[in-house]
This record gives sequence, C-alpha cells and structure tokens, in this order.
Amino acid sequence: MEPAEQPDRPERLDPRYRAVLRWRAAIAGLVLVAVAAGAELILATAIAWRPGPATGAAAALALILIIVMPGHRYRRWSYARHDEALQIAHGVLFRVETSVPFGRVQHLDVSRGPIERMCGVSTLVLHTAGTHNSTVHLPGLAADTAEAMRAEIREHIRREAP
Amino acid sequence: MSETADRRLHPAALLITFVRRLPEFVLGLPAVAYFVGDVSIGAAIAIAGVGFIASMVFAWLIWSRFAYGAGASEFVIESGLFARNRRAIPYERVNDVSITRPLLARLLGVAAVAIETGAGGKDEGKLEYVSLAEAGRLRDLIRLRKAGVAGEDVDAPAPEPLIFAMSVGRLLLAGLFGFSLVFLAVLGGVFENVSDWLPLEGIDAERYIEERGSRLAGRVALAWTLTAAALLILVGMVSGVVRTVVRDFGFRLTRAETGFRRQRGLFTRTDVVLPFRRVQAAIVTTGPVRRALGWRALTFQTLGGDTGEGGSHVVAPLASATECAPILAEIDLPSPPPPEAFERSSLRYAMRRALLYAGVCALGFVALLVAVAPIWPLLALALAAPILAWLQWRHHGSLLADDRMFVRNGFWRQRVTMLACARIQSLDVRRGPIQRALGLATLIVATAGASSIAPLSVVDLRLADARALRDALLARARGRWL
Repeated sequence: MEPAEQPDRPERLDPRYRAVLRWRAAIAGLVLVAVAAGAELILATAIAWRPGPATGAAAALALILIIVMPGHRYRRWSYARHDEALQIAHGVLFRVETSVPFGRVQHLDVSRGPIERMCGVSTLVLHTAGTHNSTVHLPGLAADTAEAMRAEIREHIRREAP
Repeated sequence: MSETADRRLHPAALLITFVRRLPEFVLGLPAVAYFVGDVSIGAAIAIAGVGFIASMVFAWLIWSRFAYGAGASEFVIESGLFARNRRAIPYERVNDVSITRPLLARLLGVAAVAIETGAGGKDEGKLEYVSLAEAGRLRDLIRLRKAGVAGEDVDAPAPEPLIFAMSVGRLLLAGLFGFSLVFLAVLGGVFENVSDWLPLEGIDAERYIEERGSRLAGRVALAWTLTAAALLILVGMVSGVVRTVVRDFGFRLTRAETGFRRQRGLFTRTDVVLPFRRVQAAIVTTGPVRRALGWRALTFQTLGGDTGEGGSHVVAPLASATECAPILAEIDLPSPPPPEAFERSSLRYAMRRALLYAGVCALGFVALLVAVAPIWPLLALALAAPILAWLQWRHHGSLLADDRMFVRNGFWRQRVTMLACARIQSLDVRRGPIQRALGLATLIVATAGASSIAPLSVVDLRLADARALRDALLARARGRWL
C-alpha cells in the first residue's frame, strides 16, 4: 500500500453559492411571514386578536435567516481531494465531514436548479451503494469546476473497472 | 435472438388462486346484497357467484397466456392477456434464484420460483407456481447456465456441504431466548376491538371490591398483579417458542456453488441463496443469558435486491462460537475478537450519554409535576442514568486489524459488527453542539445493506482520533469493492 498522499488544501465553494443560499432563505422567510400573517388574520376574525406580534416575530426570524445564516452556512462548506477520496465538510450546528472514496461512486449527476441556474452554479451529486449517504451533494460549484470534477471521478471509475 | 417460452405454470396455481379468492367471494356477499338492494339470498349468491366465476375465468386466461423457457443464453418469460410482454433475463445478470413454498403450495406439491437480478430490489422474474421438481431443475439449470455450462441435460449437482443446522432441541432453546410479547400486543389489540361485544358490562369490578372492603381489595389487587405478571411471562415465552419454531423449523445452511443456501420454515418453507460476494457485513449478537451459556446469533447484511428482512439475513439463530467460525470463514472473516481487544471511546462518551438521559429525565419531571403524579420512579431512573451511561461506554469500542473492521455495542444485548474495509462506501465524521463543546466526534461507517436509521457508528471518539480512524479506513477502502 502506497503512503497516503498529502491532503489538498480544502477549497471554498464558489462565492455565488452564497447568493443561492440567500435566495432560498428569502423564499423560506417569505413563506414563514405569509403563514404567520394568514394565521393572524384568521385569528382576528375568529376572536378579538390584534394582528402584529406573530407576523413581527416571523419577519425578524426571516431577516436573520436571510441576512445572517447564508454567510455562516457558506463559510462552513468546503471540499478537498484527499487520499483518492472526495472530502466534503458542511453544517453549522451539526458539523459533518463526509469522505467518499472515488472507487465507491456508483454514478454521478451534475444538477442545476432554477435558483442555481440564475446564480450560475451547479451541484455535483455522488451516488454510492451505502444505505447511509446513498447520495452525497456538493453544491455551489462553478459549472466548469463541476464538469471537471465529474470527468476526473468518471476517469477514476473507468480506470478501476475490470 | 429468439428463445422459446414453451413451458406453462403448474395448473395447481389456479387452484391456489381459487382458494385465495374464496374469502373475497364470501365477504363479497353482503356487499352485493347491500348494493343491489332488495334481493333474496339466493339471488345475491348467484350475482356474487357470476362475478367469482368471471374472475376465475380471467385468472385462467392469464395463466394460459403465461409461458416461460430457459434458453441457451437467457431466461424468457412471456405474459399478458392483451398487452403481451416478453421479458428476457440474461443468465449472467441473475444474482439469486429463490424457492418459496407457502403452506397451500406445499400441500399441492408446488413452489414459487423468484429470479432476482438485483436491479431495483425487485424480483425480475416470478413463477407462481411450478412443480417442486421443476423448481429445483430451474434453479440448477439457471445456476449452471450462469456458470457458462451449456447443454440440455443437467446432471444432478453434487450434494451441498452442510455448514449449520438446527436440531429440534436447539430450536426450542432458541425459542425460549426469543421471549416476545408481540402476541400479547396483538391479543390486546383484538381484545380492545372485540370487548364491545363481550358481556362484560354486567360485571362492575369496582363496586364488587368496594362492597367487600378496601383491605380485601388490596390483597386481591396484589394477587391479581402477581398472576398477571406470571401470565405475561408465560405468554411471552410460549409466543417466542411458537414464533421461532414456525420460522426456523428445519433450519439448514449449506454451501452452494456461489453462496450460502438457507432453508427454513414450518409452514412456509423458504429456500434462499445468499451469494458470498453480496455479503457486506456480519453481525454477532448475544444477550446476557445466552452469553453466559456460550450462545450467539449470526446475521449477514447483504447488498439490496433480496426479498424481505431489509438486507439482513439470519444465518445462525442460535449457535456456539465453534459453529459460527466455519460460517464466517466462508466469507473470509475471523471470529469476533475478545472484548479487551477493542479500543474504547473517550470516557466523555459516558458523560454525554448521562447528560442526555438527565435531559430526558428532567423533561419527565416537568411532565409528572404537571400531571401531579409521584416522581420517585423517575428519581430512581435519574440516579441510574450515569451507571447506565458508564456501562454503555464500557461495551462500546472499535478495532481495526488486517483490513477488517470490528465495532461492538450494547451492554445488555451485545453485538459485534464485522466487515472488510473494502466494503465501506463512505465515512462521516460528525459533531453535534454538545460533542463540539466536549471535543468529541462520531465516525459513521456507511455500508450497503445496513439500516439507514442506525448506521454503523463509532460514537464519541476524540476529534483527532476520529479523523485518524477515518483516514486509516479510507486508506484501506481503496480499490474495487465487489
């Protein structure tokens, strides 16, 4: 067995991914405020309830979600090529470092949702045979980076095939 | 390529369909009477009978249009009444041929054959039903064709060496350990639903007891509690024995050409082949009594595509260490190492566990205070929490030796999971908020066929140790895994 190669420096995601996170938070925040406002309106007609407090709290929460959280979440994402494996770290409260050996990748997707397309980033999805981590997502890659990584892992799988 | 599908299913299949649909017919009678309205019983029977006959004719049509054939390079199944479907299964794609014999099929001397290819976890070819001899012939034929031996006449294969079998005495013993209150729960459920119809309303136990004074009531209550407890244990034991005997009667594990063959069952006999290369991990479990007597159970986790049990297959329900060793040797695994060989997690594991239990207890306190119930049982539980946490810490550990990984878990029901590092699919180093405060991390080892709710994990290692173990496992997980 050859000695484990030196791990590469962990790389940040494309800064445009921060915008993706922010847009998603904005949508979630909007839904949150709308639900709170709707509930308060119903309450206002049913009992003597002055609309305002719940919607206000929801709006404050939404602002935190939109302004503070995307930065935190973005900073916690990183990935590295390490020892013939892709290592992905993420998570604010629960920090997870996932390692997928290239040889265990069954197939690969590069997916782009509407918001990701708008911001110009892609998500690389690795499928493994494990029940835990059956799909591993690496979001926020520039389109050419995602394609290059896919090609590299594909090449690795092809080399290992009998 | 055109292989001919020239063989029919056994006519007994129609009889089985008939018997299976009979209850629907009987249950359908009131429905017919209800929907048609004012009709005599005779007319209702006639209407339901016509429907039943129509469905049987339909079943016969489907049966008559179903054909299969074993070609030179693929297995062909033709089916469909209006939309004809021709399915070809190349032999090299066949993973497993299993034979199942439900009670009715056994009485009629037929069996169901399922040809599995591992695609999508579903049976790719199901033959319900063929004669028992035909089922055996098909399985041997498919296995031979898969191995690349062509030819029409199939020699009887050499008898497969027996690896493990359960005697009746062993079976009963396993049943005693399989203590189960499942039947009780079922009975309770039935009683709940039926009690409305039982003549219990006339008996007012409370008034009866009140009339005879509270002192007697106390004695009656105690006697009743003791009797109920004894009954509960008895029912649990009996149901455990019954369940085990029904499931594992005539348990035989033999070594087939490419895998283990397991045959078992009292009423429904199943015959399953577990290919060696699809076994991902072995799990040895034992309880406190079983351990003291030297007994253990051996289970294999296999890659998807199997029927039932969610990728987990018992290969020895109750066996000694010396009986397990040859089974494990077939898939190139050693016997589980002794407990002292395992490396324990940080002692802070116990601390975090105790904290967790304390949190649960605190929630319980609040709930009980709100409900104005006595809190002393919870107090005792809270005192036991650190001891429990410490015991769990003592019985949790991992070991990496010779490209094999071992993880042990549980102080009451102990289990050792063993796998070749090459079977590891991915690894997670995971830290929650409390773990980060304590400098701990959990290593999750993802394998195929494992439970997705509780994946194999080494809990609460020091962060540096978790990362070191991860890197050591990664270095051994390179290369092909199947």
